[in-house]
Amino acid sequence: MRLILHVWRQKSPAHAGQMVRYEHKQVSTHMSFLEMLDVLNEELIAKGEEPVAFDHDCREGICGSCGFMINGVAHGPQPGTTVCQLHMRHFKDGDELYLEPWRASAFPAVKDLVVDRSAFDRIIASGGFISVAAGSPQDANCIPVPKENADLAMDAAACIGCGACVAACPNAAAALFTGAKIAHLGLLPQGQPERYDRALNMAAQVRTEGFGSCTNIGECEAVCPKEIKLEVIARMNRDFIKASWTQRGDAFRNESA
Amino acid sequence: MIGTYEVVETDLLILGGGGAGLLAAIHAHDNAPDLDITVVVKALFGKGGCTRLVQGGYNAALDAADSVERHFEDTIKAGSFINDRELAWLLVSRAPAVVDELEKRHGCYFDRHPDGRIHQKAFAGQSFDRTVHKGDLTGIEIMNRLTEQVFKRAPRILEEHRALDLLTDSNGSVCGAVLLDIRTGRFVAVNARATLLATGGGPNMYRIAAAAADKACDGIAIGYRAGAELMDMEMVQFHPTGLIAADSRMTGTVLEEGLRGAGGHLFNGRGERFMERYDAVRLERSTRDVVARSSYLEIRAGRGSPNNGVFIDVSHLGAEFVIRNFPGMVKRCSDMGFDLARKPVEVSPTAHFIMGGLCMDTETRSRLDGLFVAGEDAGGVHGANRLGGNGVAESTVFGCVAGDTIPSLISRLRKVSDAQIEQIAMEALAPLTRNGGESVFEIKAEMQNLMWDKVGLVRNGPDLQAAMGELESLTERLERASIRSFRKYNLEWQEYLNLKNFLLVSRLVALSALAREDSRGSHYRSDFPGANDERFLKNVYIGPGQKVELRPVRERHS
Repeated sequence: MRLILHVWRQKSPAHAGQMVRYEHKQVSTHMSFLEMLDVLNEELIAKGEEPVAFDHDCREGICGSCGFMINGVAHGPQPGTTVCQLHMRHFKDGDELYLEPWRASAFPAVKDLVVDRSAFDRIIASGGFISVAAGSPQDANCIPVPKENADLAMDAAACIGCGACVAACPNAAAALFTGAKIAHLGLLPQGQPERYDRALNMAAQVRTEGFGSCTNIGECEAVCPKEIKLEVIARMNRDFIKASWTQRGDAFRNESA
Repeated sequence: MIGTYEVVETDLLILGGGGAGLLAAIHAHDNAPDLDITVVVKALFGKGGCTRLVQGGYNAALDAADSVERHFEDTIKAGSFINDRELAWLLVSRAPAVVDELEKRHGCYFDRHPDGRIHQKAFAGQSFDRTVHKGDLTGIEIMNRLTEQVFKRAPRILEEHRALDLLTDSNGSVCGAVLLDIRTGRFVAVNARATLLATGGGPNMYRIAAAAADKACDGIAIGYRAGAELMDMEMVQFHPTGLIAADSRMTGTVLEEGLRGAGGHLFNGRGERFMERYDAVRLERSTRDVVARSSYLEIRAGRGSPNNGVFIDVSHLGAEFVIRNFPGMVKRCSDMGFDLARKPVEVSPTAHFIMGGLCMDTETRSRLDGLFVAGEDAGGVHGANRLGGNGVAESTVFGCVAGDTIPSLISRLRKVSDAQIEQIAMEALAPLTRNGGESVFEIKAEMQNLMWDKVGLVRNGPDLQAAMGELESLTERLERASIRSFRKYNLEWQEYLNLKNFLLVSRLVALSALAREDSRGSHYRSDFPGANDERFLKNVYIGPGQKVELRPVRERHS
């Protein structure tokens, strides 16, 4: 199979980037999308050119390292699938594909298809964890969790932090990512003590990082490789609004100021 | 030439950010909140490494009808009785508390029975269903929760940094490491009071292998070059059910053990349930070493499937059952175009785990002063074969032990020499200054085929001797290889540095395999097909200068 690739090449944040055209003649339909790029890179190296930089690790769709836009769609055309799990049999001979990095001001460019997603790390660091030992007197694992909540929490916990939701959003909002974390911990007994502080602190960090506001468009849900539902954003909003009305903690005052 | 480099002073340098590294960071911080901790990850923080890839689960004796003693017996029986008994006991006796800690302190939430007890599933080679899990994606839950906890404690995190080599003082004590920032191509020298190797193994030097793409046996290679003693390097585990995906490099990715635990069948190309011939009692639920070798022998005898594998079939369990209990596996197969719930799927043995590694004591100290080790970089816990579900147990238990003991064992900061830093950096840069050498990809492919064919599931003396020679010539070729000289995100350069470590560790595996003239656990010699307890109920140690020595197995005293 033969493909025409237009790949965003950018040496560093200081350099201007541009689309570069490559003709790829050796694409096997059994390859994953990243393998197809591996082969392109080996050819580029053999010709003495710089290979295309992209993040990747597990190649099993669960680490969240990989991700870029294929013809304007985060992680490409296959629903619920990361680019490492996307297979070339979904494309046909002669297809022309445009590969671009996630574009959002909160995700600064690093090189080619690689962007810096550490803003996500700082959102987690602002409250996306539990810090109250759920031990005595009653163990958290002795508190019966309704099956429905356990399932919903597990669905929300499936987030791999790849950033596709931000890249797909016209506002470059991080609502699906942040909502998944808040929903996941808010549904479990371990997450209760800090539930409302968490919502306030994480929302504040989202704004500090320069992500846009959520206007419930739903592009994020459509591209999420883990198929996380918009419902998590509703859960986040519920916790955030409740916290804003009932709490007068430091976080709230900082917010208002 | 090497450019300016940053020097970082820290109390505890942790190389690796999987289960072992993260728990070591959390525990060390909680034991000594003033400790300055630096965590170095070769991939992206929280995303890279193999703990995240854990599908099956975590072995711990939690049920009243189970016991730590039974878990211990299963573990050493699977290890063909060459496990370090002290380490194996530490593993099984601390595992229940660590599961508890993961839930109560870090916010993990494992699958449950309707009455609220933690659900434990069947894994091969175990006398009790004791594998704690979250669906078939247990590793994601553990890694995400631990990553959050590490962020909360805010240590210094260096992601996409790889350790090149350890720094040592004139007495041979380890006092940090030289790192390469993969993004910028700049070097960073870390001067540390204590260093923990927790990079994970990852036997990706085999043609078919399961580990994450960043894995290159770095920890074992780095530790050995610094003078640490290794043990059991011949013991490489092959997982029996790696997915076959035609000519795709996805080949080798693991279909989890629970499929066999739940009653999955294996068939050869003729439709025979061949495990009846190799282990009539346990059949497909036999240990990984037995099932992997049996599949390999079927394939070699010409009874394999069309793509040189065998078939795993779970369709008789009912499509609904399979989809409900193994959603990750069903998805993985469907991505590749296979219907696991309804049809047999082709699988092959795949290189999966290195039981061998750096020698350590029960406080995670290596034989080198200042150097600690935890997880797959360490040897001794699993003996000749690791039970499914004991891997993530090992990395988390020993990560906790490291984090609990290091703060009290830490010594003063020893000065590092600029000359040593520069020498390590110059060595890494050497291929960028050469011209006209061959491609590293060619060398890698040759190494992977060689290891699969001659140092793989079935070995013999002449093949191992030949492999030693060929690995040496591949090493010489690598020393002449040339790489385009740019530094930022140079993937070919990273491959070169990986290969340097792979080739060293491959030679140590072959050397150790030659020394063990019997068959035991994962190590099978067709010229010595039985176990010889009189001579080989021992561990094979490799010291500096590739000095090989057999010593008796360490007994349990605690």
